[in-house]
Amino acid sequence: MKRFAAPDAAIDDLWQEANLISEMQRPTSASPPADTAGGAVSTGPPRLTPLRELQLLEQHRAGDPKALSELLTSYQRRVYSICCRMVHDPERSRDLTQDVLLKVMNGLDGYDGRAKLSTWIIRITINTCLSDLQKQKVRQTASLDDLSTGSSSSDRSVELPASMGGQRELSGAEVVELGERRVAVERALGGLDADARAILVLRDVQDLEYQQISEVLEVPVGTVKSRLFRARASFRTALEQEMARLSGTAGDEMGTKTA
Amino acid sequence: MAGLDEQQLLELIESADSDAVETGLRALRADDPQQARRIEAMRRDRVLLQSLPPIDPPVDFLAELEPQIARPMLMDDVPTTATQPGAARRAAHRNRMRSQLMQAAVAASVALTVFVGAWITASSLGLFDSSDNTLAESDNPGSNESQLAVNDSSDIDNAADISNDSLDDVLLTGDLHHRAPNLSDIQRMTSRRLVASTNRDTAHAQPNPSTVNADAQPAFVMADFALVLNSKDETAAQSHLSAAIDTVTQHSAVIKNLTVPELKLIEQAWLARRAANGNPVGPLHAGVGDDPPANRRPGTANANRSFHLNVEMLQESVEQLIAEGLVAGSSDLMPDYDQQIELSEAGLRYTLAIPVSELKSVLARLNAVDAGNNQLVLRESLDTGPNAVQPMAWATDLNDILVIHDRLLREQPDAVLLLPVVLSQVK
Repeated sequence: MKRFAAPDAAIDDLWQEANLISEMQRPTSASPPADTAGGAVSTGPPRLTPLRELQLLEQHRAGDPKALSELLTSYQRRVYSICCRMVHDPERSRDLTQDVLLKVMNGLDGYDGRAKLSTWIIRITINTCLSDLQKQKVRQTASLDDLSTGSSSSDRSVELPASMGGQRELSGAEVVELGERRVAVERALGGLDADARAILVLRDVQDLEYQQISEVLEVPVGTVKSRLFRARASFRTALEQEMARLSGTAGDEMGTKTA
Repeated sequence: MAGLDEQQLLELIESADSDAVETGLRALRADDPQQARRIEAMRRDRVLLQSLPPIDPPVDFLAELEPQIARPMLMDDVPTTATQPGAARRAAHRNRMRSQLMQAAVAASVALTVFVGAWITASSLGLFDSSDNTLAESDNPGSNESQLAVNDSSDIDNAADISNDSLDDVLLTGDLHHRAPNLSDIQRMTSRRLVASTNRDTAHAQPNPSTVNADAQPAFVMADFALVLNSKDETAAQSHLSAAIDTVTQHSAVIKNLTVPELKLIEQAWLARRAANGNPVGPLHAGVGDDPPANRRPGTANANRSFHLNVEMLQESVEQLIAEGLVAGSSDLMPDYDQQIELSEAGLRYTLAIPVSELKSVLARLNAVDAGNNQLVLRESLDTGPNAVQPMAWATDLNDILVIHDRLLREQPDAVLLLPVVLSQVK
């Protein structure tokens, strides 16, 4: 198993792999719609165009029972993905996703079109996750048996499942199977405070523009940029720590310590 | 370069302009090497985060919500007309009230379970007023139109009526259908320059042949024949058309001709956003009947409605219109909105714009993709029946079409051919 000489070198490896992944995943500007013959492989329902969303909204308001279902289906993957990245707990993510979709369903009559539908739904998602994290934080700080694992962030989520690089100590084989790189990134993201995590998820994972993030978080664009920079700085620090930790774990497995 | 603030550093991290980034980083390295390394690392971190894949929800995830999705549809009676301001808030309040009342009703039913037999008997005797469910009011919870759009309620009704005649089938059921093109309208269009618009003479106009150097623009020719594209669904059809023009390097596009309801929806969304940003404007299109009598044409009400879109004011919307209507290729070749409406209402849902000289090679590519399922048909041969396009008609029409095409090649070899496309569902 590869041992990392130093965190920076490991991150260079991470970056090279991610660059390759990004190139493979990003569609070209002239590409036809996804999930068609010859197009990019899509494992979920394709995102609806804004026009199609408006059409479905109109159809839903006109009483079409299929329109709402199609709308929610198109968003379930995105909402679930955001929830997972925010709370790092599949069971809670599932519950939160259902909460979000129900809120969307019940709130569609009041949706006034001032923001894009996607922005509105993502706002509901982020607010739901942040509320949940706040509740978890309150529970953790109130608990007499708080056994923090040494994280500096009191917003640190409960134990990550193995599929996302859980906080429990993974065996060397498990790390290799998951991909140590992915583990480090997931853990670093999970270790940030909620606001920092949210803004990185919105910007990098969900690929929103500053203006959209501003509408989701309901703060000015300037504030978005400041928070984003600070979140990046926090993530950098967290990633360096995770890579060092992983290389330390790998070293222990091999019976040696890394420098 | 001392004292870069957070936003400037963020710009170095996120900018896609590699030259500017390299210049900035070089200066930063000279000033603060450690900071520069950190910024470079943060650029790489961004790539890492962007590479995180989406996480799929469990299979049948929505199945648990299906009963709740279905429930509002049983309760609500949502008309399609536009509403007064605040109607949506009242509607939301009514919905909440309904929900609470329903919960109380469920509790009452449980309590009365012991007397089910008497209950059924009493119901059959008509002792209970069947209009108990007065919760479903007849006024409108539905569309939350802004006040600006109230004036357009009649337009919305008419748009809905028209859409029932034309593209509602496609939008609601996914079925594709034949529709006979209105030949007189099409023939009228052949004498017009399709991408010219007298309204687009402002600096903010989208790239358009009429506003760019006219000497560089080709002539446009509307084909007297149509492409009948057999496909299992509209997405596949778009993909096939896009692939067919992939190797055509110049003057090619696949355009989805927007309908009146679609344009209306885009305009409504744009108006709402303008209002939210403190720049409210009135509806930009004239209502039904506003056209002077000389401009009115018999037929659908939409033909009488004119969309005089002020491009300068609709800059954002124009981009979305392009995004919605341009499937592939160059936006310069998009017909203007009036013409798109005419085409789409005639059942010509797409327009394929290609150089005249490329027609045969594009058709060959289409056939290669779709195993020869496509047909070229003279437009007067198109029928409205379910088995409208007969293979024998194709065999006959092909000779006529080749004659037309050969004449075009001779007389207008540099022209761009605008080929209407009819979608036909594969049986």
